[in-house]
Amino acid sequence: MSDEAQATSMTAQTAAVPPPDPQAAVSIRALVKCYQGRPAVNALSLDIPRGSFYGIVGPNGAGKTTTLNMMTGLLVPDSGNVMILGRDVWSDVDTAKRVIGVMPQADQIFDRLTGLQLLVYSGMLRRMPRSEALGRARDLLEAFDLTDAGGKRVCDYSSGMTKKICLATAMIHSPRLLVLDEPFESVDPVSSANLKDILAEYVDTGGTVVISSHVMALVERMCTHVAIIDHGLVRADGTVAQVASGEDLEDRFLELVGGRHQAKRIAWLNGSGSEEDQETQ
Amino acid sequence: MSAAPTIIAMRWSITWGTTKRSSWQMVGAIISLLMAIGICLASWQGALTLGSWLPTAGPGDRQRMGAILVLFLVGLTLGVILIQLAFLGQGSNLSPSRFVLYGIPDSQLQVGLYLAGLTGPAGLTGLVCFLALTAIYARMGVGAAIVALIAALLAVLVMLALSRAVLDLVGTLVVSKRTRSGLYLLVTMVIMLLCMLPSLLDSGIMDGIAVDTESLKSLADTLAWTPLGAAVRLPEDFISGSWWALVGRLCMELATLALCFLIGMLCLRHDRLHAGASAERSVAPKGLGMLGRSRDAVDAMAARLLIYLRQDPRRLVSYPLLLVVVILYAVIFRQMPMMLWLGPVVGAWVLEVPEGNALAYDGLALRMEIAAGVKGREDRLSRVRSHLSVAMPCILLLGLVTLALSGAMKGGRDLVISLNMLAVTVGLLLSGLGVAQVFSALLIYPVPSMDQPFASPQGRAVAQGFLPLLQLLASLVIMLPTFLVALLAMTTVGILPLWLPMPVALANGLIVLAVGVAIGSRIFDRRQSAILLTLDRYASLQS
Repeated sequence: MSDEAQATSMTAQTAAVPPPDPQAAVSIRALVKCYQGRPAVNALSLDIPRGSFYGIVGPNGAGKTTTLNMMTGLLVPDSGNVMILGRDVWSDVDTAKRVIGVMPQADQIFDRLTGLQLLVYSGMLRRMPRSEALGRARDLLEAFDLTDAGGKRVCDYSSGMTKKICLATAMIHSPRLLVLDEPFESVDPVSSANLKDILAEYVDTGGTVVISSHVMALVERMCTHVAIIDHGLVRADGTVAQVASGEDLEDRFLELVGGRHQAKRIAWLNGSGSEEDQETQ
Repeated sequence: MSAAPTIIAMRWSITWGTTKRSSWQMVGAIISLLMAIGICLASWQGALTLGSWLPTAGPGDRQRMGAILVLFLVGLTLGVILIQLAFLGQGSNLSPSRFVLYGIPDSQLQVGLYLAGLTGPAGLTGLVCFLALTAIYARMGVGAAIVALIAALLAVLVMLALSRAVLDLVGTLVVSKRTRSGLYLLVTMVIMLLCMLPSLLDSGIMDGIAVDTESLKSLADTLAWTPLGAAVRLPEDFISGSWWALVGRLCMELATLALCFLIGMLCLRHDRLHAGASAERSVAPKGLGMLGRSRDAVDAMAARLLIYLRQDPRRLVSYPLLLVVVILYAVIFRQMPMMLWLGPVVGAWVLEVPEGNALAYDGLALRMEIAAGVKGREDRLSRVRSHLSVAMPCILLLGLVTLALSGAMKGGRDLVISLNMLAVTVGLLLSGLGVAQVFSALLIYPVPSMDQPFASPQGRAVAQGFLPLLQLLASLVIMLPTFLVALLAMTTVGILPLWLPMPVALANGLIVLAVGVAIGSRIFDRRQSAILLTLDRYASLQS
């Protein structure tokens, strides 16, 4: 499809969408982002209910990260609206950012600070008094089993510890919306179970968690709601049961996204041609 | 099958891919290509001229030319090693660690990396230049020309092998981040001193120390028996029939190549066997450290910048360099006390260059601040606060030392002029910082990672050369009111009071700083998304 045709199609979709829902934790309407004329997010609309544990899933390049970045005020959309807890994100982006907790990736933190310093810093960036930030930082270190590592520089942490401190930086200001990208990747099972408990408790208090993940089993087990995104559009959304439609979520995902095909048999993938094989011959 | 062709092809693919990424890179590549062609043509032109003169030259002249060639080669080899260490590193794409997954035998990998280095843009330029050696000796007979050809190849190969061996040893032996940072600071200062060497020599520092042709010739004779300078002496050995010397030097060069190759192999083996064993014990503060004195977000960001400054050799190097600049000017202008002020003035002027690219030094971590809703004004103020808390005391201290050394403390006109110069120094620091607040939000260029200050992100050379110059020029232009007032006050008598440049310089600096912070804040707020995308793109160049 040409750029012009795509733009016309997007405009048509934009015109048809209802206004954002202020009652939702996140309400996205006709969100568009193009890179070099190609749409990464293609008039995407989505409502994330308050108090839900929401999973966003999709294949690589589906537009998940771009959507999350626009949702959290880190990337300006080409068009469309995002409302967070009743506030329009892009009309007062700094205020919107302060009510959200975005979990940074390991390379997106100041890792030369100690764990304790990083958490206090994260709190103070959100206008918290130092004493309060320090108290919360200590609580978080304890909750994430990092008390002993609090005085160590984060660059010396293992990847699992880094993941935990990243999550803690997103929670220190007690946001009502947490946005987490692959939060359980490289976290050991014990820490993972603790993290899940903390997140479940957070949701019980009315907080909303949005996670982006590739692990369907995790989404199916932890999330109350799920949206499947592909080619910058929502293919299906709703409660996990609604989206799964009686099937296994992973099967449903593959059905909606496609791309699964009969595995091509690779004739040479049997060790033949290796040095060992050649030596034998 | 040898891995060399694949590694060479990969090297050129990456170079070409990086070059065509943007028009800036393309412009830089074209300029570099033209410079390389110019250097090659100049070498060949020089060689042809020498070649036509050589048959008529006597043995004494020939020996003098030979001595110059040896000294030139030694200087060039040492320079290449130093520059490799400080600016180019191993070139992140030609690091042996990149190939660790592929099970390439060490010897093949070493050969591949050597050949990739030799056939890179700099290697090829060096090779073509040194091949001009054959043109010098072409009229001395076929044998001499062949020996000159071998000598040229050996000169380039040994230069490459020595620099690689030094880099391999540094990479393997200097494992602690602190030692690496120290080495980086040292090498940068040595290069700075070498750059200032012509001015130092010109200042008459060597007056009274006899450097005659004979002592240089004897130095060259000694250096011609070291791997650094032996290659270019081979044709002369051949012409003069010094067969034992020829064989001896040839063997030494070949042994050097073998030794460097062996060092590379040992380093590869050591790195493989000791991977991950050099975990460093981190030295971290108890409690919150400097963050413990912060009252608000701006304070916290300023404290974070200071914590980082202490650990970041890329930024820290500015301060010892400041001292080097002041000492050098003190030596050069020791006969003209008032000219000593050039040291602090130039120091304050160039100290702001890294501030003009401050966001690149933060890298992707800046996202943490942007995600927290930090305003541009808060970001700019925190940078100004942290920078001035270190730079201002340093500049004032250097200013006071200069004041004492200039002999102006006795009072009179010299004291007023010195105080004017001190004010101009402070004004330049402030205005430079103001300009940096705009530049850093607007024009970002890649920097090496904090852990690998030696590494060279592909494609940073052009931007790193051009943008700081633009920033320095802007810092000067914006201080024109001060310079005009100073000129008028010092050249006219009675029209303007002699002390007037003092308040004008300070006001000029403060106004530029305030305006710079205001404009920089607005640009930062407006370009947040673009800044993050740029930093994201540059982060991939560091890996």
